[in-house]
Amino acid sequence: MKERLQIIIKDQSLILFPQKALFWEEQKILVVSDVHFGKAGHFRKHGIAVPDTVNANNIQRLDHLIKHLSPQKILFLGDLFHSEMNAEVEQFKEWRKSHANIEMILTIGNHDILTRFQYEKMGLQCVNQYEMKPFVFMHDEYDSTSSEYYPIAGHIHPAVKLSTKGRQRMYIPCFYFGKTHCMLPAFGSFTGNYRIQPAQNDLVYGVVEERVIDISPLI
Amino acid sequence: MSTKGRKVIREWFDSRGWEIFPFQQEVWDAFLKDKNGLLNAPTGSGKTFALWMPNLIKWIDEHPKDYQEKTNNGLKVLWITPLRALAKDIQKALQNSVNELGIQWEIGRRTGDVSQSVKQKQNRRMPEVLITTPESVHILLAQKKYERHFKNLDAVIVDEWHELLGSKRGIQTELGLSRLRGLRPNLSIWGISATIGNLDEALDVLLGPDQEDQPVIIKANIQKNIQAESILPDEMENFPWHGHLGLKLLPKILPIIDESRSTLIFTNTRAQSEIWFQNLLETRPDLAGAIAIHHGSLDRKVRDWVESSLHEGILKAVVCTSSLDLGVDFSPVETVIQIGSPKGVARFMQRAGRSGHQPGSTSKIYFVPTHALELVEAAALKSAINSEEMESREPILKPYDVLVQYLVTLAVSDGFHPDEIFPEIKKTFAYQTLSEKEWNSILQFITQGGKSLSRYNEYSKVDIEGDGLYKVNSRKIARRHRMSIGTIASDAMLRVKYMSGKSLGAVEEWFIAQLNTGDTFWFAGRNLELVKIKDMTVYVKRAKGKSSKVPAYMGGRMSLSSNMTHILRKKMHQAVAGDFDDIELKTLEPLFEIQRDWSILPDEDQFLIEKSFSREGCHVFFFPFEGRYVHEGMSALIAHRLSKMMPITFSIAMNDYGFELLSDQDIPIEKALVEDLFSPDHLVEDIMASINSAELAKRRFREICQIAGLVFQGFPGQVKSNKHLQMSSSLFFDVFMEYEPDHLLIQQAFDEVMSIQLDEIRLRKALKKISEQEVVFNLTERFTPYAFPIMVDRLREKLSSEKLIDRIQKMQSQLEKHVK
Repeated sequence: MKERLQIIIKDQSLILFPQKALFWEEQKILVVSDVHFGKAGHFRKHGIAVPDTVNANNIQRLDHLIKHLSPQKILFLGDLFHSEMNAEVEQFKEWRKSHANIEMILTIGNHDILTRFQYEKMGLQCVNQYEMKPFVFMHDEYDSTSSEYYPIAGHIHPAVKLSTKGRQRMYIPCFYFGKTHCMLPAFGSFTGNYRIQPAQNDLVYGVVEERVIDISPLI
Repeated sequence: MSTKGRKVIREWFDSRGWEIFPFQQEVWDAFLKDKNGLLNAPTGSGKTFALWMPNLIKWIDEHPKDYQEKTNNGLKVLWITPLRALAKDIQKALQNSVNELGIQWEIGRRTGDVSQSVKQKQNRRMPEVLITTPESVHILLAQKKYERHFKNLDAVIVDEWHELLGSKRGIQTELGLSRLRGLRPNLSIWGISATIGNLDEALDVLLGPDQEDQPVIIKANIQKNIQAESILPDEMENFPWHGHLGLKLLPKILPIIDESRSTLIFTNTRAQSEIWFQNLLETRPDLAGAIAIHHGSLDRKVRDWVESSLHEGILKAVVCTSSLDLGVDFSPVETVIQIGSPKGVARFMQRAGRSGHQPGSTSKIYFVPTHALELVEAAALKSAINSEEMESREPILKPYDVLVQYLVTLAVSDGFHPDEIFPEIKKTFAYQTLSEKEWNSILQFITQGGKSLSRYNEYSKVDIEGDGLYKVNSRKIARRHRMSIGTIASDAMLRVKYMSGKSLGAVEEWFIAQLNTGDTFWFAGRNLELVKIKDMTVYVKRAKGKSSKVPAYMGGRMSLSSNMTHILRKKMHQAVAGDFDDIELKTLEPLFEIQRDWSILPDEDQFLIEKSFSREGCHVFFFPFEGRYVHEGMSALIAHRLSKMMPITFSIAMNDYGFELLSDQDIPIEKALVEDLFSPDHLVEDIMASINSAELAKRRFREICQIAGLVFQGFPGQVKSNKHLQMSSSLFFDVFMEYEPDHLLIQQAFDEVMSIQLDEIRLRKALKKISEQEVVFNLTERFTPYAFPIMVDRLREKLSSEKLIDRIQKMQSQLEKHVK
């Protein structure tokens, strides 16, 4: 059984899912970051053999979340697609059609190299950043000086290192809520992680197997 | 039988005042009878001319009237060497001889550091002789219409074959030869090898298992006198029990450097060589300018300068790594110093042989131990030299990755027909047992990505043309493949350059990633300040003052050879029995006393296990004295068996003497011993499971990924233009394990761990030995001299049977207890 974790940030209720997604309860917005659709296919096209099952797994997890949460909007925080058009992107298009009633918005990331027209055509609203008080969502270029909005971003694929007795070390992908901004873990199941070093008082929620737990005190 | 050719060559030898050695004559005779074979001769013995002259004799005999006139004869001889640094010297020697003999042959070189324009010239017109590396042969095979280059090829000489044998470069050589023989069935093939334990096998691997005409092994039988001496600490009390740098004894080698005309100081890693160089300079500033550093990450030009200066005798000492193990004759070198264990007898003798190069002279080598127990190795090495117990180089069998790369190479050039290539490959030693089924899955892998088409839709690499020709049509794929031909896995490297543009060498990307602009680091024997990083190049300037950071280089640690561990155990037991005839063992006596006081000194029939507790948790030490590789497997196996008894997490460390299991909780070793921890039952299953949980296969997979072309590294100084195609091998491993666990490259990773890394046969033997020994279990209050060097090692494996979530909850509850 997967266990979610509810937290309150800026007086808003955010629910963190072990599927590496965030649900903003008040606004009924599902936020996922760095899916990298078509990554496996992109590799195959260039002569590097990666099996296809990765993509199907991403779609299944999205479907599962949609079924349970009935979001009004889905916000993709960049790197939705890994590269140019391929069969996996076509699969995404089909999937998009099957959820025509949900508004979907993409904040453009460095891997999103299709034209805006192409995104719009497949039913994705395309923006550089998406503001909705008290948050502003984007892929990575946040402006931490603005105090009006709290930035929530993707891009980094954050993970933290935990060390314990017996010289044990673990690397845990995480949701990170720092003083100046928040970073979400990468949703895509075929992506790596980057180790971040949180400061004191930062909040870090680790995705550990089927659960999300507060690991801030362990860092 | 005297022919014109023999006469001309004999006269030429006479004119130079040289005599023809009997072994040279023997090789000439065999070669001219169209025999293939292997010459066993050390460097500096005249081995090059042994195999070069018969080519000329043959040429003269074929064209007795106009051998001096004929030009443009096409490529006749391919000379393969493992080290491109050697190519230049061989080129010079061969070119000299043809010039003096008035033969119009051109001797060319084709290695990674030869300019593009020279290569293009060669493509238009090949020289008569090409000196090259295994990789460059494959790059030639990746060219369009490559067959035209080899129309006139008569002979292939593989120099320093022992260096290639037992590595994937050796496999690459075998495959290259198989293709050349396919094109030229009567090709003469000869290898040259230093003495190794398995010369007969070396010949079989070079020529393939089925040879119609009996090939020959010719031995030069040149005895080399080696004098080895250990540098001993004055007082054992102050000598460290652990460590790998050995700086403590630095003052003792200064007089050796002073007294010798020129000295080579061998270290085991690049970082160690930098640190030694730095410390030598700090201790003896007057040596500045007279000493130099040499290792594989330095720029070719820097290394060339060091090599030629050594040759000319203008350097007092050079701190180096295995980069100077081979090749070039450094006659001025009188003395060799080895810092730390060379891990094998052959390597120690090879390095010793770099001094006293003149025939008949004595080689002098000093051994500098880096920690106390290494003195036992010193004693072992000395007795091994006397008995000349040399290691074997075990050939690798059937690596799929190298075959995948080779087939794509052929597909990139003119394409290949499986019916033609499969029989050629079957004739190699490495792939003699390759089954039809394995062959087909490899073809499947390169054409459709994997077994099921549906999982690999849109895959494009090798296409099958209408006539059944396997061919790469995408220019991008072809280009990327040509750039990544080779079998040496490496980290992404960045070039290091002065602002003026002068290149110093290359360092690993991850090291530079830890530095900021203005930080200083030590590289190429210089203190450098990082100015900026641009286009995969680190720009630096000279820094003032001290710097502490030395690039550490990743890379596996070497294990003692099984040959060495055998002699090492003998020496250990000699000391336990009270025989301190060896000065090294005598010096170590106080240490053995401490070990005996705090625990026991295990004799031949005892197997020692020590357990102790510290702030970090529970430590259990095992001492099989079997070398790092065997310990790697045995520790994973033991940890796995313990972890089946209860959920537990281990951190594992090892050295050549033993290994340690460390856990945050009590390790129930007492109970496990009762249940026969070392039993040979279910051994294979348990080893497979432990390889998996200790992630040994995952690490092995890194190299396989690079060779098979799944991971593309790029080259130093090159802007990565295909960022979107970057993925770590560990992600690949996870994906394959999840979706296609029987993937042939995954299988290979497991096979390699079993056969190469852990050496299953050695592991079995070691377990059998333990089962015949008495297990002595000791609870120790302190870390003993045997245990301490293992305990402080930071480089660790892990193995866990606990769920991640449970481990984290354990951390949480520990924290709560702490807060209360």
